[in-house]
Amino acid sequence: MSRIDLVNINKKFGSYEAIADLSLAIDSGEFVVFLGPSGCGKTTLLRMIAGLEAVTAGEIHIGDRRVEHLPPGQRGVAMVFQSYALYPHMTVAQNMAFGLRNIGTEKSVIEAKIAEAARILQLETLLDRKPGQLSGGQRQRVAIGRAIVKSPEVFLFDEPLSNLDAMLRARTRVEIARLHQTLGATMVFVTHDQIEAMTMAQKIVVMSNGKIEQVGAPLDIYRRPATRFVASFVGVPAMNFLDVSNTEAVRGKLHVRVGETMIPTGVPAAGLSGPLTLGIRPEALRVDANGTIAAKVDVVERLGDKTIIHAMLPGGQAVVGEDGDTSALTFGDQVRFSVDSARTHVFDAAGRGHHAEVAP
Amino acid sequence: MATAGKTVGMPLGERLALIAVILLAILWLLPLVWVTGVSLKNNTELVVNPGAVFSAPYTIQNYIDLTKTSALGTWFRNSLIVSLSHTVLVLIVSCLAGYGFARIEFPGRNAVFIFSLVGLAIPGQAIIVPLHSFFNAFDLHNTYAALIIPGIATPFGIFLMTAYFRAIPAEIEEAARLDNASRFKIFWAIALPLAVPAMATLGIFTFLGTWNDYLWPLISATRPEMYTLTVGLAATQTNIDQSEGLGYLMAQSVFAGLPMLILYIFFQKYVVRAVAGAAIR
Amino acid sequence: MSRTSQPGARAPKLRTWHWPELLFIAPFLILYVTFLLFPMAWGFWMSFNYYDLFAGFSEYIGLENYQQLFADQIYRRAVVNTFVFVAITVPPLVILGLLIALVLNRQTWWSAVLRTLFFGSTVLSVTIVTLIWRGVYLPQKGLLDNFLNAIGVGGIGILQDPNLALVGIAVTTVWWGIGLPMVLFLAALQQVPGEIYEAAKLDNASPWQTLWSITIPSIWRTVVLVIIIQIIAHFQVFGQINLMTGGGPNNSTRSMVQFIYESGFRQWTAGFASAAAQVLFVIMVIAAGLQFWASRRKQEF
Repeated sequence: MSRIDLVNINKKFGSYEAIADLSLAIDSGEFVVFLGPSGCGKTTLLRMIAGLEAVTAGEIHIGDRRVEHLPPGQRGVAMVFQSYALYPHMTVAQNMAFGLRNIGTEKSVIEAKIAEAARILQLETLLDRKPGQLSGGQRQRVAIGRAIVKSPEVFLFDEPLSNLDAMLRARTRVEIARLHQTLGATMVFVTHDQIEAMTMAQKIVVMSNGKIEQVGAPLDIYRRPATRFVASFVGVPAMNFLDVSNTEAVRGKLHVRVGETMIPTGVPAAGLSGPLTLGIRPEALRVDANGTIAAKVDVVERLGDKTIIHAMLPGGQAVVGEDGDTSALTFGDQVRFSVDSARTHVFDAAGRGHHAEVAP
Repeated sequence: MATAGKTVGMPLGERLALIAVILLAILWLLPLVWVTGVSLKNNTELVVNPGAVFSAPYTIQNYIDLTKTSALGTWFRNSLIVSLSHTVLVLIVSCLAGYGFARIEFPGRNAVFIFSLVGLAIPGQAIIVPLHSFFNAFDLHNTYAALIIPGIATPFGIFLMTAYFRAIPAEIEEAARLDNASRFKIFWAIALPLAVPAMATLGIFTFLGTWNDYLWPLISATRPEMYTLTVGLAATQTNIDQSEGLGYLMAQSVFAGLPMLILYIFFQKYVVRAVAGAAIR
Repeated sequence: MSRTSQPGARAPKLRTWHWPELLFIAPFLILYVTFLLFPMAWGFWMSFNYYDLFAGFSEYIGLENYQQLFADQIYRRAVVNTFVFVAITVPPLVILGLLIALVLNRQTWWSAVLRTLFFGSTVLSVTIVTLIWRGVYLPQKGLLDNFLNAIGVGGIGILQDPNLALVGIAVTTVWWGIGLPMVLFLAALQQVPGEIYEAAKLDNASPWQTLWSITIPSIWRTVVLVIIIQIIAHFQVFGQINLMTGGGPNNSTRSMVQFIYESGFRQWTAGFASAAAQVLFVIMVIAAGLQFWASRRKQEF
């Protein structure tokens, strides 16, 4: 296992700049997730670490070595592809052995490594099958096994769960997290699915348009989103954004006017001016008969443990809030929400986030 | 009973079409049956009564004579050597170049590829005269080399293999690159095994074409011991009209045609796919 | 951070290709240029020369070969014969091929047997096919004259008749070549989604209407393609003619390719033969262009 350092990475496809001057440090043994919408450059970044894509400028270090000029095989990385990319004409065992044979590993060592990987991933009974005879989940495990046997310094995952059904995806998430604990290797995982990012990552790198929006621990990203983009991308249902028409400072905290209502926030008022946006996550916007915000119920989603209320403010803006598991609300009802001011966010004109919660 | 019921239920037009096709099938079969019949008749009997084909007695004397006197065996061997060598070389050259065009990102690749496809428009017949002079200059006529070499670089083969290699998911090759495989190792151990269906198409199509080729071997192989089966058979039938040995001649055609027909019946699915795939391209 | 690199140091780039990898395409390019492009160019040059293959003598004569060619009665006859041959061979191949494909496009044992039969003749070489059919056409002794005698018409010796010889060769060619159009049509018919036919049934379409408004339009692109492929193939007719009639009787069956063959390798006038080959080449390029255009067009409904 090794640390990875990306220094001033730049990537152009023709005249299109996919990655602009990006630097990032990944600690040894860390599980890092690159999170972002499709086209944000996260897969390109991963492929540059792997050596499948050349950098236009910048440096990549894996461990003590500078690697951006090395071919993929010499970088000490293993990759699990979105389509798994198993060799269709080889058996499971041959798939895992291929990379080891290419570097002249002894036969007995290869066999031992395959046996070990097969044990960890419960592939023992499938070693003589070809990929075409395996289920999606089994193929996924073989792809991971092919990475494990190489004992790489770094594991790279390119959206490996997106071809699995929901159940299997949830189970594989846990398996990969467990694998990380067992192997202790550095892992870089690319996904557009924030649940995968939140559940597996020690560190999330949120990307948009070829730039890093925020680097942080999952809860940090969730509770203190650095930008409005991060706030909107992480969290389901998404954060409510309400335009602020006026503000005042009350005991050092910012109170904001949204439509006709004055809403107290926990955000420090110092230094905040200009056009602002209030951000409230649905779970901080609770149905409450004494609440400050009045709205009209539009759609009610009953999730069993709680109820999601989609409602319309008098100004015509849609908001999403929460109610208890046995909510009696239906379409057309008048409803009032209260705001948990300790969990409010304010975004300034540049999109930067200011939070009620303080950093841990 | 079930079939009869279905036929009754068929609309008139469809029934007429079916009858027409069955009549055609009989027409298609008839020459084959007649030739087989003639080949099994005594030559003198045929001269006296040409209509005796469809009645006994039959004899296999013509086939016995064939094995004793004919050069068919030599020609058959020549055809086999030429067709197999040519097919193998076409496959090697086309696979290498197809992979190169599909996967190696050298500058000017598209221009070279288009340059390579221009030859699709050149019919073999249009270049036989200079090609003949060319081989003549090196004194290569009446050798296997002359029969094998022309047409090894076939734009069609390049077109087919390039398209097929391009369709193999790039991620599989990227996985192999991460597995420390060299470019040639990727070609040999990953791409080539996955391209077997396209190679079968190209191989069968090439083999059939070479086996049945007539014009080039006719020009190049002028010595009987270098004839291919097609040219040799052509040489024996020059004065068929005066020939007393009609049964013998027809026995030759049965003997020469049978291997191909048997191969075809065994590998029908692949042959049809190859020929159709090659034509549609 | 900069453990191994000095700031600003130029690092080698990640290579996406290496010179030795050009060995993949080198064999093809060398053979392609040597045995296809070079002969093509040389043939073009030859056509402006008086070039005696036998004596190995050559002299530049400009367009004389072409003038001589277009003035040649036998060549003109060969061009006409070739066009006539294409005109009487391609329609039956396409129409019968389509008819057979339509009828045999079903999963029964007998249709499989018939498909095998119709395609079987295609795998035979031209020499075997002509040997069979010269036997069939043999005056008095052959199958055809036997049959004609039996029904009282009397034998005709079809290949000896200048008016009928080309027809005889065309019949042989259709017998030989029906397999390809049939399998191409079958392949196209299997691409037509079954739901269309079910929808047509729900719309109360008669079988005849279904054929003309569903089936034929669905495979129209293949029909066009098959027609062009057949035209290209039969423009180059040579083997059947050379073997069955040798161009006779009275030049009534001589084709363009046979003309090239005979002037090149019987009279050894290579320059003249090359001029004839250039004309064939131009026609083939036009046809290949048509094929390219047809195969690129979208399926139309």
